[in-house]
Amino acid sequence: MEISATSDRREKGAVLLKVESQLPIPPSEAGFDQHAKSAPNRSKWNRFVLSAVVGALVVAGCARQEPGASPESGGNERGSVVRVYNGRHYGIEPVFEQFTRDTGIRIEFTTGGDAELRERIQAEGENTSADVYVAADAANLYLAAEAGLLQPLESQMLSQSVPSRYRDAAGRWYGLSKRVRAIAYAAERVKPEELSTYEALADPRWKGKLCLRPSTNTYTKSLVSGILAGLGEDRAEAVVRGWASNDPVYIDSDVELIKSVAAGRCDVAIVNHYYLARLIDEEPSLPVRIFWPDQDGRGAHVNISGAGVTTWAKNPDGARRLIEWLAGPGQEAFARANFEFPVSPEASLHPVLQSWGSFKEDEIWVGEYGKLQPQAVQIMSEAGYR
Amino acid sequence: MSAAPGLITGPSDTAIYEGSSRARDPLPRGRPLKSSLPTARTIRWSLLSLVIGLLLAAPAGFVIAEAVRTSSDVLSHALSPRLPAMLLTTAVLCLAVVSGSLLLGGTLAWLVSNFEFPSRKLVGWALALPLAIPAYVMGFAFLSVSGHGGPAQSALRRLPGMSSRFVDVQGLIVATFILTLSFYPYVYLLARAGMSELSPRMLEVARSLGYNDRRLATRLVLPMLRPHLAAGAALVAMETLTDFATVRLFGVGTLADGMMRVWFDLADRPSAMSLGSALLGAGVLVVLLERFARRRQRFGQPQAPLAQRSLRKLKGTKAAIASLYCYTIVALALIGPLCVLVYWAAAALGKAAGAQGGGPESQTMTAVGTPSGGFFYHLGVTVALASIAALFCVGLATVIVNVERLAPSPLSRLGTRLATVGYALPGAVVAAGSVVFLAALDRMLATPSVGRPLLLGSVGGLLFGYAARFTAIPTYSAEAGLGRIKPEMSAVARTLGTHPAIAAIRVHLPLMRPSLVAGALLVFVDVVKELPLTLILRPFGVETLAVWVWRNTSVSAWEPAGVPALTMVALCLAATSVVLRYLSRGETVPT
Repeated sequence: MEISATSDRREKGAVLLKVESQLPIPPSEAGFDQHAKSAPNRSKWNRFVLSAVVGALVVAGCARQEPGASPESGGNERGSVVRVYNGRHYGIEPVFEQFTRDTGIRIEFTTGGDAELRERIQAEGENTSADVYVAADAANLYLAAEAGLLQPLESQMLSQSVPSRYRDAAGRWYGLSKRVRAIAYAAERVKPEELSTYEALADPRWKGKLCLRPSTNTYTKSLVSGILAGLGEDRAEAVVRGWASNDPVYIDSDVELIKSVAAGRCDVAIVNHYYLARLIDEEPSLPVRIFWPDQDGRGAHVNISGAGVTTWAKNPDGARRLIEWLAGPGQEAFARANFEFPVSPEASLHPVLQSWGSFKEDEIWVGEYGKLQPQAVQIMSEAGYR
Repeated sequence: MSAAPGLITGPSDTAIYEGSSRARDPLPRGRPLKSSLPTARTIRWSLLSLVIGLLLAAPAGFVIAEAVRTSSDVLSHALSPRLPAMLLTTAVLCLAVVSGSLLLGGTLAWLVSNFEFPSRKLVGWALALPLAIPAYVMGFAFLSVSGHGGPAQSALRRLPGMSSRFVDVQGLIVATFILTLSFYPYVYLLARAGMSELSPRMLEVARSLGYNDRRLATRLVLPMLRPHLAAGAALVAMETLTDFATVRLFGVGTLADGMMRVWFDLADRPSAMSLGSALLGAGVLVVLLERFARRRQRFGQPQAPLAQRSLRKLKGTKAAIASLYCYTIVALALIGPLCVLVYWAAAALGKAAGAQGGGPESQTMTAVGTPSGGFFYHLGVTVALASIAALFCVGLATVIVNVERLAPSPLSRLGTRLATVGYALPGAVVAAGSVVFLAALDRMLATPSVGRPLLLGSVGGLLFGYAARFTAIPTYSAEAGLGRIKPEMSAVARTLGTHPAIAAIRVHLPLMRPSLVAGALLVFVDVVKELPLTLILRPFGVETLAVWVWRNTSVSAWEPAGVPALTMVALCLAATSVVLRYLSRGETVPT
């Protein structure tokens, strides 16, 4: 397997250095050396602790060592390794493996939450190991770019295959797959004609029949940002207030939202399309259907998974090849792993998504979500949306 | 030991007070050796303690520094109206979970340590195991069973007349229930450790003087166990304060949740750090309360603590009630969640087996369950990290606690307090502080030839993060254990001219062993479960079981999380059984 941990002797050196600085022997204390001589037993104790900790660390270091990798070669081989901070962790391994097979470039990656990884790049600054930052939300990519963590990447190929509303104008990040915030409704109790827009769910007729995700959730924040961009502050707040006064059941999991609709607790929920696709793929008889909202208006709310090259990337060429590959030959694998829609119109769809047909998408630039998010959070807070 | 109030002068420099006339002295427990004058040796040892403390507190320090630097009046508009409610919710939840855990953990430990009843050994072991299940996993498992679409409510709706009844599994009560079931083992384990250190002869004497079980429990054992119970309660309070994943699941807005919210939702780091400082303040309050609960207490251990101990045999109804009580808790906190995990794991494995012959469509799902490196890689990394971190933290705790006992000074006390500060912060905040601290160190150490950080994103950096957060656990348990070693014991050792370090190793360590083993176990288990720290500080390729679980649960894919979650439980189960065998040594059943 190409994608795995490589060990680096330097890292081990760092470990030892760290250990020494933590051990109970502050070298700067002049009196201590003298003292140690007068107390041989204490230094024996220190030696014991030292050797125990160091031994354990070496074991841990060896555990991480990849069988074939030479620790010396880390620096020279830099050109053929791309390091990724990856905030989108759903079935990403096979995708990276396929990239390595196609290009011969190895990938090392570490997963984490979008925001945590962004913070880490910021703290590491020019020391960062990350060449590429992959996030599962446009707002986080926007914030990373605004914080100066991503560098412009100009690519003919990327600007052709990624529609402009799914990428940064300066090329600091590119959307790679699309996730749609859609309405899931109970097939037995709701007719699709009764549904229209996100805003319509603020109507009192849905009182007690809504299941919604709390305001803490990224998807909710981006959705409200989208409504804010489309309708303006006053109307957006009225919509959120309407949702909140319909006494929705707040559940912080899209899967549980869908299950609550299936069980009959609510008639309607707002969820990301791929959760429903996954559940229907597992259980085709699930009595929940998808509805693409606002087809006569702005269109359905679309967010992206995307990637950008970090400002201090050590391997910018490899990083570019990875992003171009993901936007090109890797589209199907990247999108399908999570039942998402590829950004490139040429790539084929998962059968479940095919069966759902085409729909109109909101044409707003997705970076707006990041820009408007603080305002969206404030609106939800003032409107009493939990 | 001299009966008269006496002043024993140590061989070199330390004066030791001991005696009945000072028994009501408001001298804080745990440092009865009072140094009259700081000497060179005391200062050197204290400095060592202080250096450890300062290093471990550095991440928290960076959090506070950031909160102070960027003045706190920018606390975001969206947040300030919610702040009072947030504080109230946090306080209520904390109190409820601590009371529940004390009640549950205390009574269970008392039953299991002192009485013989059917399947005592089995439940005694099983009762500590919910520790192995992260609170958020227990929350997910509970939600999936008792949610609207879960089997519990589906079954309820099949009853006549209930077809449209739904229970919303939300709110403070549910969160209290789940967190209590997750955290009571802290109290239970520490209380059992305390009881195993109690002198069996003392209990026998009390019984022969006519104490019945209740008087024995309330008059003798409870006061003797106060340090252990206080330490357990403090751990539970800290865990509750810093939990954000579970409370969020049930829609309970605590301080920790609010902090994560402003930080990651609004990218408002300064406000988040202000809230982090508030959280830290709450943690300090917990520590002070714990000190207060152990005030004016001195404990001595007149004889070998692991002597033969006899258990009283319960008969008839009493035995049945005891068994039933224990089994109920085991069923709720362990068997239930385990069944859910086993069900998920079986479903995921079944799907993987079914998909092996399938086409590219079916690969999408199996891909989720098998992250790079495979099962044994994750297991190995988890075990290695958790063991090293446990050893490391226990080592540090042993040093600072013994320094505080044998070379008491304001410096060493400060060192001890500083070393435990990190536990009052959520893992994500310690991680954020560590990132900034390690990055600053890296910049200082940076040489042009090194293209990447030395410390940040290294195993050492990760271990530092664990130590910063978890050294508090063995420190509390070591203090509790040491607190019950009679001050004379240390004094005698010193009087005989023993070097302080030797006194610590030869005298304190063997007597503290149960407490240290319990502390190590708790760190091991906590590192196995720890998520935000591992996620943020780990190097490329370091994949733990908890990360594997999270990668699936973060996208609500419960089933593929079953295998790693079960493995985590099995790991912690192994660790727990080791310590329990240790604690139940010396118990004999009367024939």
